[in-house]
Amino acid sequence: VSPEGNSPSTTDSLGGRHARHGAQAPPPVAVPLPPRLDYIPRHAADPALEHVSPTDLTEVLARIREDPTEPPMLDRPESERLPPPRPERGPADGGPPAEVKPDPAPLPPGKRVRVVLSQRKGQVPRPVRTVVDVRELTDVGKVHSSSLIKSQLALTLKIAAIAVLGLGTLPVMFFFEPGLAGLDLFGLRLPWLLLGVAAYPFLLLLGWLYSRQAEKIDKVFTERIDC
Amino acid sequence: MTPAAVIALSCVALVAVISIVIGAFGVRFARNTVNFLVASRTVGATTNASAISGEYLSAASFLGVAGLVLKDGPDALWYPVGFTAGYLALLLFVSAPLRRCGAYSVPDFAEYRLRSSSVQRVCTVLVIIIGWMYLVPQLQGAGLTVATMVPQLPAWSGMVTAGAVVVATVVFGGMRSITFVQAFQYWLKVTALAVPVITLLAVVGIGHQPYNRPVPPRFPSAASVSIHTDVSLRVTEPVSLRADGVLDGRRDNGPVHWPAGVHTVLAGSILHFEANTSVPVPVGAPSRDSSWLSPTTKANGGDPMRLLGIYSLLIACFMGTMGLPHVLVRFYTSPDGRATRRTAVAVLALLGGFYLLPTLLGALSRLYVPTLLVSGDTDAAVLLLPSAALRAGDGLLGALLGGLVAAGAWAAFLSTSFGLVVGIASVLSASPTVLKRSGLRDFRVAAGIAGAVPLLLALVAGRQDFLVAVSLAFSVAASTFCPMLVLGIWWRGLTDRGALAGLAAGGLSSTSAVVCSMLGVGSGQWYGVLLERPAVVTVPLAFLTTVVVSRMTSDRVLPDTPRLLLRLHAPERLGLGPKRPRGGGEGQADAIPGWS
Repeated sequence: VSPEGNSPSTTDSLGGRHARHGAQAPPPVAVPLPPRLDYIPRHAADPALEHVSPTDLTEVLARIREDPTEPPMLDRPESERLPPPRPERGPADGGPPAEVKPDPAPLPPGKRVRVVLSQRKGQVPRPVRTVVDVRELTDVGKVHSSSLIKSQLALTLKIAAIAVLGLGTLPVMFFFEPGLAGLDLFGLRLPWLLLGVAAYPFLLLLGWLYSRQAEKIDKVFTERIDC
Repeated sequence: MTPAAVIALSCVALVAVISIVIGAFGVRFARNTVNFLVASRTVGATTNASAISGEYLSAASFLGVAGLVLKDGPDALWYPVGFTAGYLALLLFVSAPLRRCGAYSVPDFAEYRLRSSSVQRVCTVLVIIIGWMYLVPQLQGAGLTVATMVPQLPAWSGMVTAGAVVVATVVFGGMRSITFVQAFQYWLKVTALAVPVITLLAVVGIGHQPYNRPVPPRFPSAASVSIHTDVSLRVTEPVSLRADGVLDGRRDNGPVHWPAGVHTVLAGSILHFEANTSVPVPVGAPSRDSSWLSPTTKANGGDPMRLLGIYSLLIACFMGTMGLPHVLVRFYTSPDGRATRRTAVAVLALLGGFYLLPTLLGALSRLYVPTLLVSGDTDAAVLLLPSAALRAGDGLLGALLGGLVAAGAWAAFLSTSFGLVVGIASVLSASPTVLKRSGLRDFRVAAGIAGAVPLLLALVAGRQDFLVAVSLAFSVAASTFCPMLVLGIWWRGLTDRGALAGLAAGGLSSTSAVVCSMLGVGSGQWYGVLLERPAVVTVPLAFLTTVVVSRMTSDRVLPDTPRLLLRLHAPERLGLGPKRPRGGGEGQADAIPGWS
């Protein structure tokens, strides 16, 4: 990757610092390129360019490798090739069309690569081999696995606590508050209403909530590691 | 034989025949050991949920709930609430992980999680003990039904018939057909209680006789009560009766006047009461209708130990359900962990819907069959209520409804017993120490053994209230399997020594308490409650022992525990689980999934 891609020089080419040092070197050609036109995938790049210092972009590109365990990727909009760039005019002087760098070497046909065009804001790029990590229980896999178990356990304990509190307080309440036990509601004594009727929808509701949340946790886990 | 008896007997016979026929048709789908046992996992979720509910609702639920409501009022409602809450606990703590590890029974799980054959062996023994404890009241329920509906037949004939039908269906049917049988039996049970409830509410109504009276219940008509076991009765209003037998230590034959107080009647006596006299109530049960209507409170002289008993019962039900052998077997008929959870939610709905019915019937029977309070056969309330309440006309409607209820009661015993016999037989035939060879043939031998032993026990043992008898099995299951399952699934520090120590501590303490309470030790003493409902002590004891011993032997934690736990919790589609048998093969690894 050539670092001049987003060089600030294009705007001050006429009167900036570069103009004052013009005697030492020919002034850089004003190249108003869109930022990513000069992108060359790592495997297609000229080995001579290896010296390029790492930037954020190369960090991302370093993650591209072929993973034999990974299923073939589906077509995704973000991995489509960009249309060929339209040459633009120079910034200020209306001079000749800007010199455009040649296209990067064409990819060998039939070979699919993952192309990461930009880093998503606020989101760590998704690791590729997580499912293998988890399967082989590497350190990363262990973290994923124990976080799954912990979140399932937290959900289980939460629902169980609601059930135990909801039902477990009733005998004590009836025992020490006889007025409560003698209360009439909808033509039924409160204990009969609570134990004979209301307890079952309560337990069903808890079971339904649990099952929904547990499926959600499973889904999040699957999506996180199975990308 | 009366017409009512003929109707009831033919209904019972019909249920037995239908069960066998569905079982015989289902067997055509069973092609080899695998799909013979686990129904090829092609059973739909609704069918499976009905089958689970059908299996779970036993004689205790069908007869016992109404009987205990008749005797104890709202305190009895903790039993069905506890059974349903136990199913919720099972859903929360073990359902999906157990399905994902592929374990077919608790011994399989022990083998998977701890790789210890000694833990596996102890678990096998415990499964058999718990299963037999649970089977005995089922068979006795079958005997009680037959003896109640057809007074000419002895109780043992019902027990023997039920045992034979169960073993025959299991031996010739297998799990696939049993799933269909049980789904059918759930709906039969619901119908058998819903139709009498609706009819009774429509014909006699519930409001014409208020419950809230400070007097004992009254005999709706003249009644003769024969006493089968010695009983102490509390009389709150002086009552006159004619008696033939030993009363208060004296032989009486003729009119007797009982002043208020406690009176004892020995077995073999016959008491005749006039209509509209007050009903003597066994000691320990609320005698006045108004105190029957409210739960144990401090104000009406409630004993704090009784409160402790309620909590102990709730702990036993909440934690014990997951350890019952016939419940665990069912997980394997769901295709994956997600389906298991959804099925369990459906089961919660089906259970809740069902338990409304016996509650209502129990309250109604306080009005119509208080006779049972005197004889102590309160478990027969559901069976006798329709004919007692619908006396008008020739009683045909009552007889028909009675027949329907008897059919439902038989469905209850048969389905639960099927599940228990399959559960016991599969651990028996899978255990290399009990039966030498593996395969289907031994499964059949094991099913025979699994059914015959409890039949003998049921014939010789005395009968308790079904709910009480069943709750003993829950207590043992909660004190043994619950700690091992819950800690094994959620805690990586469990070791084989810890599990063994916990099983021993919980198993020995709970079974000895149960045996003591069966022998009548401590009845009437303050600690009697703890012997009858030991879970409040034994469950924490078992958990504590398991954790402490596991910590002390932490060098024995299996090195690949993280992998084992991950398989329990990771969704199947990631392909992290154990390899599953593809079917078609023979031998133990296929027959008992999770061994591969």
